[in-house]
Parts: sequence; structure tokens; C-alpha cells
Amino acid sequence: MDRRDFMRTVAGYGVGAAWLLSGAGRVLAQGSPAAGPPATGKPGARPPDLVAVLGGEPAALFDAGIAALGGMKAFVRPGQSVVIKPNVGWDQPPEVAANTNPALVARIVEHCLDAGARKVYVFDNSCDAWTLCYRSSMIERYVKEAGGEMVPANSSGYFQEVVFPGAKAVKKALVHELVVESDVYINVPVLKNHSGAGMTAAMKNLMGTVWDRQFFHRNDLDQCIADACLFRKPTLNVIDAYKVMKTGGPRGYSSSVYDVAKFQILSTDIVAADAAAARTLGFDPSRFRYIGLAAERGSGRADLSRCSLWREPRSCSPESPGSSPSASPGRLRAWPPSSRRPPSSAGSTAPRSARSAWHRTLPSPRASGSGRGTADSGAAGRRSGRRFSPR
Amino acid sequence: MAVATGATGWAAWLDPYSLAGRFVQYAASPIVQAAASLASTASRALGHYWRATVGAISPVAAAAAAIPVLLVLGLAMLRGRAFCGALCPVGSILGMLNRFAPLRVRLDADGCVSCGACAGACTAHCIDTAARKLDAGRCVSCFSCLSACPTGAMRYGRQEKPGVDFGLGRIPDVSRRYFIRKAVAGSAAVAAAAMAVPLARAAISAASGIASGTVPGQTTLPPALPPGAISAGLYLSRCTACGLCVSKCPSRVLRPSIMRLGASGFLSPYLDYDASYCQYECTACLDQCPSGALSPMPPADRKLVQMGTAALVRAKCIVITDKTPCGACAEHCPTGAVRMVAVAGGLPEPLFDESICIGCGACHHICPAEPVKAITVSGKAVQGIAAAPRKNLFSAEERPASGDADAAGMGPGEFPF
Repeated sequence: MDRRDFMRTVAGYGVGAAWLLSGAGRVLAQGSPAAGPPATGKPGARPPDLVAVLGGEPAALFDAGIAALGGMKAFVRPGQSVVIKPNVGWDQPPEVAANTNPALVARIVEHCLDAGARKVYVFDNSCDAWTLCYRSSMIERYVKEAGGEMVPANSSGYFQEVVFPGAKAVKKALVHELVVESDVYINVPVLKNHSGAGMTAAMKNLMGTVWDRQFFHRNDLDQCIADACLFRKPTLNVIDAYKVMKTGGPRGYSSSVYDVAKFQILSTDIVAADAAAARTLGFDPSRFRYIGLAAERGSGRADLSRCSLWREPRSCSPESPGSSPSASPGRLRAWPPSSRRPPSSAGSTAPRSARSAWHRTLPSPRASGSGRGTADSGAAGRRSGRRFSPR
Repeated sequence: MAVATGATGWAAWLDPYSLAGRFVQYAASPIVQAAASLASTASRALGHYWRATVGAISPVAAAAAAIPVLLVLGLAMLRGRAFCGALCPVGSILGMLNRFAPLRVRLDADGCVSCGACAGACTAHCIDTAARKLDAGRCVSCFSCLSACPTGAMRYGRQEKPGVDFGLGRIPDVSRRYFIRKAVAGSAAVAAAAMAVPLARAAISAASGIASGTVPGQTTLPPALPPGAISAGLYLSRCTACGLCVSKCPSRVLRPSIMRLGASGFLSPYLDYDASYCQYECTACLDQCPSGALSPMPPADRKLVQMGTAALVRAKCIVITDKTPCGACAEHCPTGAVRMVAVAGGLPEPLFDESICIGCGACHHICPAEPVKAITVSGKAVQGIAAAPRKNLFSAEERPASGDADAAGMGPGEFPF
């Protein structure tokens, strides 16, 4: 028994037997952390393997996407604990899009709580100083307001050594205890160009669940990224492609080129999610070696033609997996009508509601950020490869 | 205080503000942090993550910070306010002023019976009952003696002793002895002040010699100093090692120097790139510095201050030695001074541009090469100004590693797959 175990036991007794019983029950019940395929709202209907949502603000895109997968209740049962792993790697404000969109993370927290989650945790093992990243990304603030808990990952004390079954490079590593212990594991990366790995999306984001990131660089980065999901595959992957950094990733420079795609990918298959992300960047998935390595290992499907796809809005969708259940009331705000608009208005003309600046709903943590280009310029900025003026 | 009197180095060890700052940062704070860490561990058992940030603990710095404070406290227990009256620069100056204070505690020798009651109560040990004298320079005006005196010989107020008033104010004494004593004291003070300047200059030049790595036998890289230090000499002449910047540094890259900055820079902070790296957007140390050792500047200027320079040794880079993809340095570089460039028929390799490097240490810190890092940052004895980051990350003849911009991406309102 180490000191932490001892302290836990002591504190555990402190809150009484009732907690101990429920807590112990939870620990026993989660023998196998990987969750099975989610059920749809309609019994008998198979959910799509991958959902792609286009044209709307990040939170609205998620509302539509999760509905197509049967709602958050298909993933989170009442009383379960949820860990959300966004990308909070850099001390950069939301408009640089180096970190996951804060409004999206907050929306996922709200959906989880609405589905009855006991506790929703959010963390990342940041590259820059973690307190600055948590603040500048505004994820900390949004998550708190949504009712989630922002968790530190700045000390190896929060990590547990686990085995990665069948891994070629990362056989053992220190992984954040929330990934080990939480009932539901939701991976919410931002899609970006990456100087080392070429692209960062779902699989690369899992590097932030591991303590020693230098190990990844030292021991064949692509193989390590492919191995990273072998300890535990996320229950759900949500790739934020609202504003895609196409050059100068992962940190983002004043010269970085962007594509304001207003797009989102949701999948339970982490490899398929990355293959779709590669396509979103305009590349064949084979360009990124780790996608092929992960598919080879059987972590998922790199070939999107073998996946059932659901496109939202339904303009280009070839098949219907049944009626999408509407989001339940309660904690959730009403859906923005933009996610439900007819196909004719999709994409080219963003509705008024979609143009509202999501990153201005709360004041920017840095006063100097006001002069910069913003992501909410609508369709005009989409193809122009918007550049930010230097700070 | 030490800065105001123009004397750092040794004076920083007597300055009570720096002493207190160091004590809190290096000796007391680790204990509080350890307690908070235990509490944080306990909170996790309840499903909460109570934050406790634990910094690196330096036993040498802790001891060096704690010993003077313990000495002060020990002296206070044994000998009253000996430190405050005799050693502390703040106390000495206040004591000096107190001698001329119109309102102060006074001992009326005529009424005194030398009973010793006042001396027993005195917290500053400043009353000589046998001689029936009170040393106003050490008196801290605690007034303990006033209530202790049975005869009323101790009083607080204006002077009532006879002196000579020439119409310009009362002069306490017109004896020849008094005049000579004052004249000698005044000349000595002027002479001491005149000597202090060259002595301080000599100390500063010795210190900058150490800081720029010219000490024989020193093999480590010259340490980088926080932004706004301007030069090692200026920095060490102004830093009182109070530890405020160390306590506010979010990445904990600022560490008190034990040996790195030489004897005069003992416990002055430097940037330890093996521990962490300096955050591009951060100005915490500049904003905190109370002594002017770090010149305040707007964030935009601070982003161009060259604290050091990186050196890339390709022969140690794992892309070249191990044929493995990496790019950790480029990924962390905030200015684009290190970037990954495509190489025909091989893996992307790092390319370094010194003109826009600010020496923040990000590449040094993250480089995974073992046992010696392929990219290291050495501090600059005199800080420079970097060129502004490029408008285009890659020059015309370079090809970006991940072929970034060559893909079309998504069309408007189209699904990419």
C-alpha cells in the first residue's frame, strides 16, 4: 500500500459506509473499461459507425451529431462517471484553434450530466504550462459553468502505470487515473496540422493521457500514436473541425492558414474518425502512417467505404438509420434551429444564429486578443485561408 | 531596501523584505505545498480534484533561506532586537532617525533609582539602568518600560532637557566634544559612501564574469536569465533574491541559483531549461519584480527578448541517428525558429533559424534525445532583440514537413467524404 492508497482508504472511511458501498460497487462493476457499441434510441436499429455534421456552431453540431448516434443516453447511464479528454495543449486563445473549442467541450459536459452522469471530469496533460493552457483555452471556464470538473494532470501522482495489450512500442505507460477509472471515456480532439505527426486528431490526442510524452518521440512516434488507444479505446470520439489549422500546427503561428470548415466528426471507431479527419484536411488516410498501423493492429477501420456513414444535415446522406431522437429537455438549452434547417440553406449561407460569436459569449482572458481575426466570419472566410494579424 | 541603498549581494542577506520573501518561497512554501498535496490526495478519494501545485524543492535554497530567519528569531529570544537595531538596514535607518525623533521614549536620569524594572521589561535591550541611559537608536517604542517604571522616570514625549537655543532651534549640547564627535562621524560616512561605489563595481564585474560562463572548470551551459534582465551584470546588481518571481512563474522554469550564477548570484533566479521552459505569452516575473532587476515591458516586446540561443546538433538528433519521426522541438517552438523541413527520400528534419530564436528553452526542454539533447539553449550574458517571427514559416526553397498547404481541403458546404 502506498501513501495515496492509504490516504484514500482513510478518507474513504471518513465519509461513511454508504459512500464506501456505492464506491466499491462502482469499482467492481467496471472490470472491463471498454464500453460496447451504443444502442440507438430505437430498439433494433444499428447506429452509424461515423457521423459527420456540417454547417453550424460547434455546440449545435454536437447536438445534431449525438442525436444521430442515439443521444448521449446511449453512452452514459445514470450514475456513471465520465472523463472528457479535449486538446488543451497550448497557451493559446480559442480563436487560434490550437485547443478544442471550449463551447463544444461544455456542450458535451451538459449532455453527459443530462444523461444522468454522476460526475464529469475534463483534463489534459498540457504541453505549455497547464494553468495557462486551462485558462487561455477558456475550457476551464466553460467546463465549470457547464457543471463539469477541470482536473489537473501536472504531476505523475495523478497517473497509474498500465499495460497496453498488443502494443509494439508503448507496452507500459503511466496513464491518467481518470482514464483508468471512469465509466465513460470521451475523446474530443481538435483537428490540426502537426509538424511531427503530420496531422493531429483522435489518436494523437490520446498522447495527452500519458505522462511521459517524450517516450513517444523517442520510440517511433507513429507506432506510439497507433498504440496509444490499446489500453482503452474511447467510448466516443468527437473531432472538432470547426476551424481547422492547416499549417503551422500544432501550436499555431501568426502565419498559420485556416479553413473555417464548421464541421464535426463523431465516431466510436477511433481509426475511422482519424481517416475521416485526414479526408477533412484533404489527404488520403494512407498519408499518415499511424492510421494504417492502428488499422493493421485491429483498432478500427481506416477504409471509410466499409463504415456506415451518417451525414447531417441529410442532404448527401445515402441511408437513414432511423429517426434521430430529439435532445431531451432539462439542463439542455433549446437546439439552435440551424442544425435542423432544410438542406438548401446548408453550408453556403450560415444562418444568423450560427454567426453569433461563440468565443465572445465570455470575455476573452487576454485583453490583447481583441484585435485578432476571429472564426465567426461566416462563409466569407471559408475558402480564403484566413490569416490572423500578428499579435 | 538594498536596492535603494545601492548595495545588493551582501545587503540582500540583511534586507528583511528579501529575507522574508525567500523564507516564504523556499522554506515555508514547500511545507504548505506538501500539506496541500496530502489534502489533495484525500480529496480524490471523494471524487474531487482539489488543486495542489507542488514545485521543485531545493534543500540548499530552503536552508539558505531558513537559517538567517532562524538566526534573527534566535537573536531576538536571547538578545532582544539585536538584528533589528544593529544589522537590519531598515531597522538601522529607522533607529538612526529615532535618535532625532521629537516624540520618543525618554529616561529622566534624575528620577531614576536604577531599580532595573524597565530593563527587565524592555524588548529591545536598549536601557542601561546602571548608567541611567536609554539608547534611542535601538528603542522600538514598545512602551513596555513606561508601565514597568515605579518612579515615573520613563516617559514618552518631547525633550525637556536644557540646551542652548540660538533662535533657530534647540541644540542639545555646545561642548567641544560634541562638535568633534559629530564632525568625525560625518566625515566617516562620506568616506564610506565614496568607497562603496568602486567596491560594488568590482563585485558586479566579478559576478558578470561568472554569469557569462568564464569561470574555469565550469562545464554546464551558461544559464539564461529571465526576460528584462538586460545583462547579467545589471541583473545581479539589482536582484535581491527575494523569490517573488519564482513563486509566480507558472511553468516553474525559474529556479534559485545555487552555483550557476556564482557567489554574488546565490539564490538569484535563472531559467532551468532541464526543468521546464519559459512561456511565450507570460510576463509574470516582469510584473512581479519589486527591485527593478527585471525591466517591465509590454508583452509584445517581451516576446522578442532573446534570453538565450539554441544550438542544434544534427548528429545527436533522433531523426538522423535513429531514423524515427520526431519534431518535438518544432512543435513546441513559439516563434517558428525551429521547423521541420521535408528532406528528399527521408524523414523531415529540424531546421534552425537563430535570428528569430528567443531562447525560451521549449526545444531544449522537450528534445527526447538521450543522454545528450540534440538542441540545447545557452543563456546570453547580454540579452538581445530577436527579429519578428516570419510572415511565412517556410522560405521559398524549403518544403514543409507535412506538405501542409498543398491539399485542397473542404469545399464550401461540401462533405469531404
